[in-house]
Amino acid sequence: MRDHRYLSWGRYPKSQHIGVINDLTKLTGLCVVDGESTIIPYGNGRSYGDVCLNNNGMLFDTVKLSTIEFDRNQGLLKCGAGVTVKEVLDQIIPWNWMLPVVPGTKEVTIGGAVANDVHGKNHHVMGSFGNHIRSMMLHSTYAGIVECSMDTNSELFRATIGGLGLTGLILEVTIQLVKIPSPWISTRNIPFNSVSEFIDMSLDYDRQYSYSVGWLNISKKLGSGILQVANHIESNSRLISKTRFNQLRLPYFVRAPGMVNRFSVKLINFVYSKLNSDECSEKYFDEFLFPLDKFGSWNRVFFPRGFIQYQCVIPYKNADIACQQILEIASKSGSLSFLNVIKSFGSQKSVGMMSFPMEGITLSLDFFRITSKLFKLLDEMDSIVFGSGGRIYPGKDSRMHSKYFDLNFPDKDEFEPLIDPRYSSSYWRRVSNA
Amino acid sequence: MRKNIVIIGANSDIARECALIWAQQNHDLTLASRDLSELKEQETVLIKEGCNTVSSVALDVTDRNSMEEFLDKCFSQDKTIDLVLVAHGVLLKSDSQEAKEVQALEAFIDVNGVSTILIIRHLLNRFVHLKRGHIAVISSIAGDRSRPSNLEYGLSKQMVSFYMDGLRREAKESGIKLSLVKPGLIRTKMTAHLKEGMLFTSSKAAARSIVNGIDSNKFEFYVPSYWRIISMVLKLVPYKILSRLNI
Repeated sequence: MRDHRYLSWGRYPKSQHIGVINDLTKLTGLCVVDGESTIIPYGNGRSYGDVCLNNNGMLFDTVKLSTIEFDRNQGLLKCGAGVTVKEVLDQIIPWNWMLPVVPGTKEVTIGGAVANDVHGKNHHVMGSFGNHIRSMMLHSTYAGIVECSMDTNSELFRATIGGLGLTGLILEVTIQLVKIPSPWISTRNIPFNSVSEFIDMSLDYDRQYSYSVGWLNISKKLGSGILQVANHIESNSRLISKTRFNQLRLPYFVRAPGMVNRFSVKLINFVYSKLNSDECSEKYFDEFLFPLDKFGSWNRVFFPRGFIQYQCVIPYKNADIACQQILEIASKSGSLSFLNVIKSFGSQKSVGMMSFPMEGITLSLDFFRITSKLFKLLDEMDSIVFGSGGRIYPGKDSRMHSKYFDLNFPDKDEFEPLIDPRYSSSYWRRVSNA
Repeated sequence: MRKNIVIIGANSDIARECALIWAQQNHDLTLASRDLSELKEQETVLIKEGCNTVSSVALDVTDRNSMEEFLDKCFSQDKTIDLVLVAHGVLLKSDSQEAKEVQALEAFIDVNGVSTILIIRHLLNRFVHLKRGHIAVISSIAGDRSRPSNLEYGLSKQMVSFYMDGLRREAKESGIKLSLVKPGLIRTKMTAHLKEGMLFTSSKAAARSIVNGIDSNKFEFYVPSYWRIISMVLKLVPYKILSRLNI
């Protein structure tokens, strides 16, 4: 079921772990006996960069934290940190409940969703994942198991949301679900020709639609693409759960390096833009919210040598120019891949101290060829992002320079004392220079 | 996700191996079979393997009342059931004297065919209220084509496969998943009388592919998967040729 080789989704960087445990009793034992090595929780390995890795340290696999309790009248969900979003949706969707926020794949674990404070296509309405958490149980090496919420241990609560797993091990999370009329949605596609057009359009449409996301078409003019918006609708379809696509599962040895190149990317972009040119359509929510989940392990098949995803957010006042500049630099690299996304974040403030989302425009770009030239270009993009007051998403980062640490985490002074001394990750050591 | 799994016919070799895998995956198990003492032995092994909770119940599938009671008890608990594996079954050798006796034939079809179908119906009726659930039934490749050498067993399995196939739409509309497992030749108690051949698979390997198949939500799968091709050929062979083959 799970790939037990403990890579991150981008398959870059690779790291060596001295041990992996999945038992809470062993974790407490470890804290007493071994004084040196550090640990970081590992869910389903869907973060792109190295937040879930701990080079020369230990990992805690959350696979055994797998209980689900669901109150179908109140819409309260209490589940273990190792449960995936897919497993939760399978239980709640037939009763017309929905997770308030879902990321772009349903393979992430709930623990990972909290630790990265993930956002979805409905950020402008619902904020990020952490905004909907009632309470959680946290295991830290110095205090044992503590409950935290906005009322009790609120400091720890705010540090853990978006805390990249550094404040301890999340055991159980209680989430308030939202009621939906049906799992069916009606979608609408609207083309745009430039970033500034996108910003105006999305501000306009976001008021009417609960999901919205812009897809950038790199086979055409830079900055053009399609804005996709959607709303849940009433439906009299008799199907209460639908799996139209069985996930494509490929054996482990199947690799197709070189399939993704500058020509195929253009072609795929062109085909995708043609496929999505219809104005309105009705879809099952899966197809709209998790388009990539159809292909089980696309990262391994197409990018066996790894790939880099770069996601940043830029405040509205600088967004137009900065996004255009970033796109220009990105296209210079010649390794832009097919899923490049632009979305406007709403004004709802994240609960977490270290959360990534802030009001503005977020850009997410895929690069399929990792070269030193690419790193230089990414550094250039960094300077534009931080120059215009933006941030970089830790969950997708694998190369940010530590000089931007203060700018990326403005509340880090509040956060640092709350880090569990036995917890550390490759990412944290890299950016904090610790 | 930690699942609550019920296994009916838990003493069969394939079910045992499946239980072992599920125990290692840390699920909750309920075992049901005729022989309670054997189940108790299994319990201790499963706990050692890492099973979260395990309980066993004595169940005779030919006793309709006890069957209903058992299912009522399973579904009345607070925790919902995620998966039921129906794995009970016996073998009636076509070349034996019993196969020619009406009463023995009736008893056999009752255990292997009718009771399975009734259990599936019972389960569906209960899962409908939960709007979810998963029923996995072990049928057999023997049910794909009628053959004189394994006629009665094949008949009972054909019944089960036929019924499951027709239930797919109803199940889909109520959010219930169905899995029809069709094992080929597996080395178990049931096939102990057959000569060992190249096509035999160990029950351990079979269980692994059953568990994987159930996880993948496929409706019908053969164990091991190459039996799909054998079955396809078997279904297409005209009677004239089939009658000359000694199978």
